[in-house]
Amino acid sequence: MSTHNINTQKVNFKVFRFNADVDYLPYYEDYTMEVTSEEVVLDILNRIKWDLDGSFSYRRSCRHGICGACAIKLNGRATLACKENMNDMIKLFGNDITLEPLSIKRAVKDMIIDKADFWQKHDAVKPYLISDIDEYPEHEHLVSPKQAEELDDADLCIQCGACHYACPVVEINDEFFGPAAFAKAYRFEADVRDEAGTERLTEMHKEAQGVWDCVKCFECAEACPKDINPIGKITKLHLMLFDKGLATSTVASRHAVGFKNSIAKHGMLDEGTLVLYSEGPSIIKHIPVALQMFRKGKIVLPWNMPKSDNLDEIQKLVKSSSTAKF
Amino acid sequence: MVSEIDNIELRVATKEDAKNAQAEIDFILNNNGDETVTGLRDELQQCMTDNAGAFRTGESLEIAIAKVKELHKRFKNIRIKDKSKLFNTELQEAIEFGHMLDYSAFIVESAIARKESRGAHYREDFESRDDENFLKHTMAYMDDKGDIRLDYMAVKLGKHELKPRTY
Amino acid sequence: MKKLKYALFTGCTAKQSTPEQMMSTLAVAKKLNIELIELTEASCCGASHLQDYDDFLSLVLNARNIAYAEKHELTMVTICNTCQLNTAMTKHRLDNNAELKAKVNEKLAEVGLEYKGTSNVIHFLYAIIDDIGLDKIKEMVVTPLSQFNIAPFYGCHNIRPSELQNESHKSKENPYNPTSLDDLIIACGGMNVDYTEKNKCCGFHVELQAPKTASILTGNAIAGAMDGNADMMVTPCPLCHLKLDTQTKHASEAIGREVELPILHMQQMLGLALGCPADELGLKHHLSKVNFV
Ligand code: SF4
Ligand code: SF4
Ligand code: SF4
Ligand code: FES
Repeated sequence: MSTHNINTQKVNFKVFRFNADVDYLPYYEDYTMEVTSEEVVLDILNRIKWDLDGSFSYRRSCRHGICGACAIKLNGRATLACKENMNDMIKLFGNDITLEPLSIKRAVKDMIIDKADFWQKHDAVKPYLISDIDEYPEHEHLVSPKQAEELDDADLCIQCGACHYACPVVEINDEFFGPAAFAKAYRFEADVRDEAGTERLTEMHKEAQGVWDCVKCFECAEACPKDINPIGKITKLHLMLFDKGLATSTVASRHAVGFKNSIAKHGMLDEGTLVLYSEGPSIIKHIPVALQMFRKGKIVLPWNMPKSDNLDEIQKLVKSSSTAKF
Repeated sequence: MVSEIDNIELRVATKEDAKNAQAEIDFILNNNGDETVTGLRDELQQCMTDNAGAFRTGESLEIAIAKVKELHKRFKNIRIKDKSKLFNTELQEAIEFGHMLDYSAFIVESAIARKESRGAHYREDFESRDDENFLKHTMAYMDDKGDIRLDYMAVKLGKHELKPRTY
Repeated sequence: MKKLKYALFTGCTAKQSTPEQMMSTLAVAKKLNIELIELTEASCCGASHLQDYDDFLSLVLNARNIAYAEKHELTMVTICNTCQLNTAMTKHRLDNNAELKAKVNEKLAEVGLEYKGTSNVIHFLYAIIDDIGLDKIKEMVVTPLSQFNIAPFYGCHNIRPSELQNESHKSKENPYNPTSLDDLIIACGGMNVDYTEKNKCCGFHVELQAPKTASILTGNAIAGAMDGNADMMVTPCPLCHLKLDTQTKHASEAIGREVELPILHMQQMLGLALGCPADELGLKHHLSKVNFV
């Protein structure tokens, strides 16, 4: 039998406060509380509001990890407040805990942010089944368990925005769809009932907004409270783009393909040739740095390009295993 | 089913209703008492759990109604800190609490009058179902003073056979 | 101390654009009494791009690399975060999916190889922390870096996805509050600098297709370290190193502020502390100034 001990410990909270109506600048309020091992982060938010300061504001609804309202940042970590146990957070970060909204620059009031950009991106990827169905269908559209597995849990997204506001590219590039929207796009692209053809997928290939601008930092995978692994879906969208022949020749697509070419030739990556192949004539812009690098012995000339031993094996495998086309 | 919903008569909202709603909000925002909504709500929750849960008696329900009336009065003496117009969840919680008080009164008054047990209404002082007197819906109306008048409406039978639950 | 022996997966950058990373790895290994068997047969890991084009080929190639480490019956150490990610991810997927493993092995059989799943894949940073220990390393330091504030730059793929990366080593890392590199700095006698960007992305992987994004991320990282009063930055990833060391001009332009710091590979910092001669550490291959030595 497991014994269950409830314990309490003192935690110092530093809490982001801001009311866009009256405050010129945000500030932090300190609260010290005895926290029991049974409490989740949302209980702390509730206690601040109910016991200490009624004006403290945050979103919440279900308290069950399903409405997606309560996502905030705890010591920089995207956190679904009603899901995470305080003890686990204390284990990760110690007894000094900072509570902030998911995105400080979008803060409206305390933990509440303006999620408009999140919803715009969400809407932009056509987050619905595109399919011609009878108004009065005679039977349901059967989806086998195996086909349903293809969604790879992308349908479990609760639109909490944790990944979106953890993504460094969203912060820099206004056009970037962001991880949640990509996961959503994948959810419908992977659905056997969807007949969108190319209309959704081509949007994924476009420069700046599409999958190629992802920096592969895995922040989204780390942030997601539902283990949806948005970057995994981004990879699958990449593969779909090549598979359906929608990956037109761009710097980005040539960059991915260039690896195969280089490996087939040397086993190793030929860095210089990869850049040349990817950039084409735009290579010019790299020349000043390339010259500096050359002077510092950082560029290997083509005739000195190292090759993997047993290169024939690699070449054989590239031939026999590769099915992708470009 | 759908047709039944279609037949529901809805009262048209009037300017008066809007004024009342506005007055409710103004009251909460501007009242300068010394009770907190959270404190009152805790008391209400505790009292309703203790006295008006699934298992209840005439006696416990009387305790509950007294408490609800007391809280109704004390609600007139609240103060909230957040006066802002932006995402004011403290105001929202106060509005909700006012309504909780009203619904608590409806629940308890109805339960006092229903001297039988039925479903999740289990009167420990009237343990059996009494179809003769209580096979009917309770309709409860609150007047301006907060007093509740009860009325009853016939149950439309026919879909299910009427018989005691013996499981 | 028992001699440690690993199979070394150098990755491609160590052979081309960051020769100093290769040199310093070997120099440090010598000091720490580690024998490294270089996997000269290995191919590129695909650098997290090949799998966007041809996932299966990427699995086959990485499995082949690991198969060579298995042949030596050695743990594979990587010296690049992205190599670590791609190799460990391949291992994770094959070890958890018998069907996929069989498919990959069918291909490897064509060249007389087999992926068994018997060799661990671990980044050099964690290998030395796990197998030698920070205390021991500290004892071996002959030139403590005590006059330096050193900003750790972890690089994404050593700390995320945390589940995967923590699988490969004993010293568990919190991706929101990583400590390994800080601890190593302290063991080398330096002062570790805390700053927001230390566990953020350098932007390397979009340098060609989204140069602005890449430059801003690099700029923010160096600026964060500078604001933390760092004398230098240190990283376990050659790709981060390339970005931070060679792209300062673009980074400065992108964020509208002059940024530059000496950027050391983790192995170079350790090498300095362990008393390796500067020329063995390849400092002459840096673009940004390393004038503190
Ligand atoms: S992996 Fe890509 S989508 Fe995910 S957070 Fe990083 S940049 Fe954004
Ligand atoms: S993918 Fe995960 S983190 Fe992103 S919005 Fe959906 S549930 Fe939230
Ligand atoms: S990640 Fe880079 S350095 Fe490492 S093997 Fe791949 S291409 Fe080479
Ligand atoms: S309150 Fe609904 S997800 Fe947390």
